[in-house]
Amino acid sequence: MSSSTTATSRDLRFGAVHVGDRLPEMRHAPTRLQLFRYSAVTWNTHRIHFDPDYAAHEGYPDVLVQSHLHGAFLVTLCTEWMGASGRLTRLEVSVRRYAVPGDVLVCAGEVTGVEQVEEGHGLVHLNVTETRESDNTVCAIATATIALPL
Amino acid sequence: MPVDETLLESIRIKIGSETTHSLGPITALMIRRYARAIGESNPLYFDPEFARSRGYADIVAPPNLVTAITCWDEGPAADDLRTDGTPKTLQLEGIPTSGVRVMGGGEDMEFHAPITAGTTVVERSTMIDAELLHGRNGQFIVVRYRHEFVDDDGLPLVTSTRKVLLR
Repeated sequence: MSSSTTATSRDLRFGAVHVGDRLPEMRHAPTRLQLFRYSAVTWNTHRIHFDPDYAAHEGYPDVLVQSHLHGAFLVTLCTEWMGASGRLTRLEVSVRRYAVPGDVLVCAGEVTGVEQVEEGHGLVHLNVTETRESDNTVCAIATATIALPL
Repeated sequence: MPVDETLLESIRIKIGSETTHSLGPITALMIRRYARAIGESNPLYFDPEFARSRGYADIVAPPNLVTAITCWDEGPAADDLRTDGTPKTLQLEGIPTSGVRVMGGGEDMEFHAPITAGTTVVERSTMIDAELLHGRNGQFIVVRYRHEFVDDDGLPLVTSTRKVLLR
């Protein structure tokens, strides 16, 4: 549920993008297994991400989604939209609230600016958010810049 | 340890001093495992032939891979981890290792060039700023670090500016 293969087929061009365009939403439902693998592959030993007893001791209902995994979900939102000919050039991300396994996280984005530059490409600026579906809590926000061919 | 001007001054001594770490090669297996862990199926991360058809030398790393890796070597022995599982020796230069609560406060990443499998990466880290702020729940210190990830020819790959909060 957390990814698709549109990156292979899309060939988004700068001229087709306008301020106010919305990116197709993506939903992620992180599991304890996903958090375990993310901690393992990043060699992150913090118990808050894999030990529910420790997380409870800190006052949380379950293990917490890693901040860089929130960021990775927002990266995927951008890369799926732009396709293989686009390039993400910047992401400024801030995690606002924690998320736990079982939460459904909705990633959404909107084009806030377009800027034609030299060398045959243009830059697209986006506001993106990751929101918990059950109560509309914003878990992470970011701004992103994508380079697209003209 | 009180979060105050004295602590701030002891941190600010480190502003501008750069540390350099060789992180070694980003292997194809690291890329594929990271991509799997984040739920990706983008063939740029898994399929070398597809990546080559799009002009890359090999599969490419998801953009935030290098900034997400917490530890680039084997890490400390179990006895050298705190009860929360983190290393007793913090990897961030200039920050006290106990007595304050350290939290991440956001990250600004610039992706200069794609990182293809086999690229050897060097990280240059610099404390660029530290300030004492007054919040609703008392004083806190914001320390900003710049981490430049470059290849072994010095070509910029990713620059990350990270805020760390001390309470």
